[in-house]
Amino acid sequence: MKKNKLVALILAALFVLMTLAACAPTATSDPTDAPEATDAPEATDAPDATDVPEQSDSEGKVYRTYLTAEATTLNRQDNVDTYPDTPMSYCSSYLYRTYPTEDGKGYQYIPDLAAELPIQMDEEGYVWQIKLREEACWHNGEPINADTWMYTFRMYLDPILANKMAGMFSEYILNGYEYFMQGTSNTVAWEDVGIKKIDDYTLEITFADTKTQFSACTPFNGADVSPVYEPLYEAGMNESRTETAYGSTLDNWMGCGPYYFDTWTYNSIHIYKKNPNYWLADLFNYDTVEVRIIPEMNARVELWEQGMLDSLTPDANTLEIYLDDSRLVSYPSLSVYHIDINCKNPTNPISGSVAYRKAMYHAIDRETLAQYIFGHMTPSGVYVNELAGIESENHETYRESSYGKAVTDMVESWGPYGYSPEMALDYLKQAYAECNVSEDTVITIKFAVDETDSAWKACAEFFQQEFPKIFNNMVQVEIVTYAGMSATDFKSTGDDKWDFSPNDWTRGASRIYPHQCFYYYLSSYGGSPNNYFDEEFEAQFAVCETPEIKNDYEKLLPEVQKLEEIYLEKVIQIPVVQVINYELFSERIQLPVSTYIPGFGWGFIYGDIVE
Amino acid sequence: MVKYILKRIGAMLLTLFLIMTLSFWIIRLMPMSIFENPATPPDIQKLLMAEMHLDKPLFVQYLYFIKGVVTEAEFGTSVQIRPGMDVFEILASRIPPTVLLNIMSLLISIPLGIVFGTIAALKRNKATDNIISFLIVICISVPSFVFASVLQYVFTFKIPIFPTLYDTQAATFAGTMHSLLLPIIALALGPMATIARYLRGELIETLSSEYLLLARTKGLTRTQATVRHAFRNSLVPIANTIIPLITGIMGGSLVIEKMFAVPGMGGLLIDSIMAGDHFLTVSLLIFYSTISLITILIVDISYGIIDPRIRVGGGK
Repeated sequence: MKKNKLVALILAALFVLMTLAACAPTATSDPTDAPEATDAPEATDAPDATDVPEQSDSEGKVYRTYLTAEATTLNRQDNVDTYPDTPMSYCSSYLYRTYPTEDGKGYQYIPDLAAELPIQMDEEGYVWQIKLREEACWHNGEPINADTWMYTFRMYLDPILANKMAGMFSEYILNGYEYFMQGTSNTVAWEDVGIKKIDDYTLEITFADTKTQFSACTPFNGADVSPVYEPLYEAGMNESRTETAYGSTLDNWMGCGPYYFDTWTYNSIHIYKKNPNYWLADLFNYDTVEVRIIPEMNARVELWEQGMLDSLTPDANTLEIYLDDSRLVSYPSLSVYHIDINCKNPTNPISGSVAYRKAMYHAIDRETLAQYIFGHMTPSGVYVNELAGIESENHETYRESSYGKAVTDMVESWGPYGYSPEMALDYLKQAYAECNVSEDTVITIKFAVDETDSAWKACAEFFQQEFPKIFNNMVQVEIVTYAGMSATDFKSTGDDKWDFSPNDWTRGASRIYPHQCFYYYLSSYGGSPNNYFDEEFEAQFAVCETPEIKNDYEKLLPEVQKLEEIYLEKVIQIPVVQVINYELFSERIQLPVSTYIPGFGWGFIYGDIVE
Repeated sequence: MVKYILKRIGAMLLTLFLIMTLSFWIIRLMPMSIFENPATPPDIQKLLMAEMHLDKPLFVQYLYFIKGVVTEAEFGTSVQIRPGMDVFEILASRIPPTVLLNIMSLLISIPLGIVFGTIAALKRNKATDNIISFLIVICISVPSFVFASVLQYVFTFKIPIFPTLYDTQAATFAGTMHSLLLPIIALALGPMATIARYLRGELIETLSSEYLLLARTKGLTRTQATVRHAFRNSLVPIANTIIPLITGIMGGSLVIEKMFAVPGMGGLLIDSIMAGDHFLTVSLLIFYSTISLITILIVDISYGIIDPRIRVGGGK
């Protein structure tokens, strides 16, 4: 009996111990917890903690925002998620920072870690020098100079590290892409890459194509081109130099931005405190920025209603509640939701026919989908997005130009946003004839959709209802769902598994060069989501890429028009809706701009609190 | 008793090894590549694969995995969820809030379940019993996230006396608990009802048994007879329900943690599977299995205390 009581006592003690162990405050029990912003690795000759200004305990002006998911790392070189951009934008810096123009209607680049705007060194605009800001330093006080940048760029483009974001950046720099993609072949030396140190505070960049002063700043504005702190980057490197743990916690990351990364409770909250010694400190008004990680929409709405969030991006359902709210603003995105069509499905006898692709294009009632399924978006029968070209020299988008409008008019002549059941049926019959398929054959279109994607699943169900009506029961739709893998992975399981696959891929470079939105649909792009490639289309894309066309916007626009016409003629894929973003702002926030500025946004980072 | 416990621990370790093996093989056979960047040159992909022994046959990979776990407690490095971070570190940072949430909900649900079950049994077929039984049915039928939504709406929005989200910055334990009370209640209701329902049924049967009648005729009061004899005998089947309760709470907390932004284990398993972070997925499966096995061990040991007849081979 005594033994039993002893065991019972031990069990009870174990239970209490487990409870107490778990009751330790999370903020301190998390091994990933933030060190003081003043922390520096022992391996370096870091200045004394006293060199770093003390942070005020007073919260002052607090900006409260959220992320829907946590940043997996602060090493943006090797991460394709945009979640790290928020902490990076506050706590790190770039060579050039975007800032609104005086009238608040546009934006410009201002030097940040650079001392001045780039200096053109040759007549054509290939070679530019960047003078570095001499007072720029890390949060531990160590200087940021040309050596910092040479190390940063070399690691970013390192072919063995194979950073996920490096592909796009490498294309800007002379021999950058060749160096980055060489793998282990050692065919291109780092010395051949167009990034050179001239002196301790001067870099010389040779671009792969010609640049203006504005476009020469663009590659150096973004979290992926923030400087990396060499001692910690190297400390996190594995033996074979294929991977670094830099940025996985605050212990192995160093900031240099207008705010210190004060607290990082993973999956819960970020707290940034203002860095009063930052060289552009006057541009920043918040004393503290609190970023909560809130995956649940309902929780976000409740916090918004309680006034505990300063902004909210409503989803399609929540949007209905706020449609008449004066705090709601909307603006177009770079994305045009579209459907990739398989041209090689062995079980679909007409999949290789262009007439079949045209039939599908005309069978889509985009107005209904945009309004009722995607929720207050803009139907679109064209693929070049509404922001394409906004960062061109004269800031005129392609869609606003006469060339873009001509294509839109052509689409409208077929029917509202290209929807024409009659044309769809005619083209389908043509496809049947071309492929020698008898008209009593019923084609089954496999609509492959991610199990968790409710909007596209609803779309597929809509097609399931509509297509038999439009095509006189010659076509039926089968919904094929997949889970736990990307669309690309699913498509790679076999050409017989899918006919339609929804997609939202877009390309940021289209903001400057409208034709760039088609980049992923070229045979030269290894990871293309499509298997349909057209020679005429690719030749026209190459025309748009020639330097004399690409760098002269007036010449580029008519060529993009031709490209988009070929895209529609061949139906490279099917555009469905232009994505519209909606956002709510609290009244206590004063933003630096009055309207959304594409490429810049609302400038929350420069906002102020007006209680 | 010590021999009994050692035997149980031995069986537990063997089971854990089998689970580790199964988890490894099942996850690694999933059709998904750890390295999903199409832009990475093939020779670099090979280099990365070699770095993690992924270029070797699956059985050799398994041996590396077992060697790492057994000799160095090394579960691998996350490649997607927290790139470059040791999987054990990720778990260590996520376990405390989850354990706190689950243990606190058990601490509430077990005693309250016993109290309500006992009251319902003693007041059998009376209004009190009917009310408790009705509430039990509600609490068992309605999923915990529905309670969580209602509690969150009422007590953080309509009557804002609790914070909407878990407060990781709370300076005191009381502050932490204040922000965690709603998810704890939401998680506790289901298990509490389950325990109450089982106990009510067992007690009703025991209270009408002949040996309890004998105890009463020997002069014991109703309370003495109930507490000393009926209650103790009814606890054996109740102990058996605690194992699925704990695993159920773990499952329920996946959703609740997300709703209240508790930075725990919730959703990590799904995220790791979705992201193809195989090392992390296997480690999480091992973690959940270990929790279940420890619970089974504790319950098995408690059987021995509740009823000394239930021991392996009747051993002492």
